[in-house]
Amino acid sequence: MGEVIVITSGKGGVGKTTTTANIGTALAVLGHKVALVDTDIGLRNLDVVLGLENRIVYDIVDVTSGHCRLKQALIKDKRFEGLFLLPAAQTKEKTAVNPQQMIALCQDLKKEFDYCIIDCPAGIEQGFKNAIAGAEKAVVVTTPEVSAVRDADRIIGLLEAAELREPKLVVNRIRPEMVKKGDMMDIDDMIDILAVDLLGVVPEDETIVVSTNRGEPAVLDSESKAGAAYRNIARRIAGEDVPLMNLDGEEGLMERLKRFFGFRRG
Amino acid sequence: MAKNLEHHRIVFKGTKNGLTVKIHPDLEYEDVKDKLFDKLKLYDRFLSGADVLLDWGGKELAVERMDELQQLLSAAGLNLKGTVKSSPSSLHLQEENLMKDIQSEGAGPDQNSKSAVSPERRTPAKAGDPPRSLKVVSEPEPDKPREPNGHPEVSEHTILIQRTIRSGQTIHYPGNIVVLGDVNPGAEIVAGGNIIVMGNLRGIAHAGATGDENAVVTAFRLQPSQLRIADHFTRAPDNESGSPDQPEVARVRDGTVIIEKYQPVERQPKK
Repeated sequence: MGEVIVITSGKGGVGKTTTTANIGTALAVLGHKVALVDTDIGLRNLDVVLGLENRIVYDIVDVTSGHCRLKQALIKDKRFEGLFLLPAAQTKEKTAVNPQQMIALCQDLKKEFDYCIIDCPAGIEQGFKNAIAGAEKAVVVTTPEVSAVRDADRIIGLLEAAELREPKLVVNRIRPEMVKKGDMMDIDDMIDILAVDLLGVVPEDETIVVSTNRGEPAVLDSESKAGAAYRNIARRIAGEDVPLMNLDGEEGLMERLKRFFGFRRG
Repeated sequence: MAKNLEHHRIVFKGTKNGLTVKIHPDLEYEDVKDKLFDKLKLYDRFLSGADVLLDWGGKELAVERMDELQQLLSAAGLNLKGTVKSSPSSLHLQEENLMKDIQSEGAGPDQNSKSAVSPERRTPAKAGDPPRSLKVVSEPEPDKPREPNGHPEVSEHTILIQRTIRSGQTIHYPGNIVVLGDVNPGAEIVAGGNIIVMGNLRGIAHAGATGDENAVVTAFRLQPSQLRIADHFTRAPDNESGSPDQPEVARVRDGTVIIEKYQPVERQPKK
């Protein structure tokens, strides 16, 4: 039986879809069988980030409403044998799927795949409720901004209320040089407020923009710093003990990040 | 206070006689009904289960109207215990207990059976009350030990919360609230009594929400986005930098909310 992990954030634009695509691809590179599920019905773009948009025939609504079989809707990735995408519907609304259908869908996917990674839409409404319904674990993505951290806090509260305990945190788009100057929230502040375990820190990286536009996840680019960070995150999800990478070549931050990795509270 | 009363017209206030709904004497009955309805909606379930007194500046109310208001209050979970009569000649309050269940259920003047039924704890029942009559209670004598903060219905109980209160989460409790954890920005804690946070208080705290001005907010690190005690509202200064490095307590003094270092011994002025 596989594991169902939801990637969520509350706020939009912090990198949920990028994170989903990269973690999923990295897990597939590691040899796992992975299904990525886009639950952002009406605003789908996980297929674009993966470069699979022209292969969509059936979508998640077709599956949950019984118009097709799950196997028919799953799109096999063009690069990796073990990577599949279940795309969202673009012409329907979030209410086209309900939480019970999602639970059933996740149960089915778990039988086939090692990891089922769900890309959650922004917001806390129906789409969010659908996305978390069948999940067993949660990854909360945030950026070092007060508004994103506030939303992450709200989301963690909602996840806890939905019995998704101990969500893990991914801090995306951090700029070490700004943190050092005191112009950006540091990991310390964010962990202090959110009181959850840190799963990884992804630096701001221009190559992400390029890779997203090309439909080639950054983890496949050995030069990309963000790609390396996502590869580490995938290995941690797979159970490896990987230290946080050195973001700015300085001992200080490295040591501090190490201290926070595996940091536990309450 | 007069200004506040003027402004709100209907105020829920903790007094020495318990939770009191103070209605401005100039208000018309229909107005009162509407405003009370709005007010109760605002408080939501927060006051549920509380006993209240009605104070309309000594106005006499027809029985039907009284029943109507009672229904309105009980729909919000409140028990109307009686009305307060302010006598113009003195500041002493007189309380008429209209709780029909006490008198009409055959209890009569019998002291023992009365205390068994009555939900009211503080009213010293006087022997010899005629049956069906309205009970008259005078202000507690000055030499009697008084409740430390003046309204026992609200603040006797304390709830302990052992987790982080996150953005969007609210805790409402008629008594005291103790949080073993942080209160994050966007979270809201509303207590009828005191609030104690054994951690960072960064959200909104409202102590003495039913009007108790003696309520305090204490936190290990007191840095709320907004602080309310009774009907005094304050917010954090816009340009404040840095955070407190010691436990602090916020209380109302001379009509304003002040924040000072927490000193355990200082809170012991008996009586």
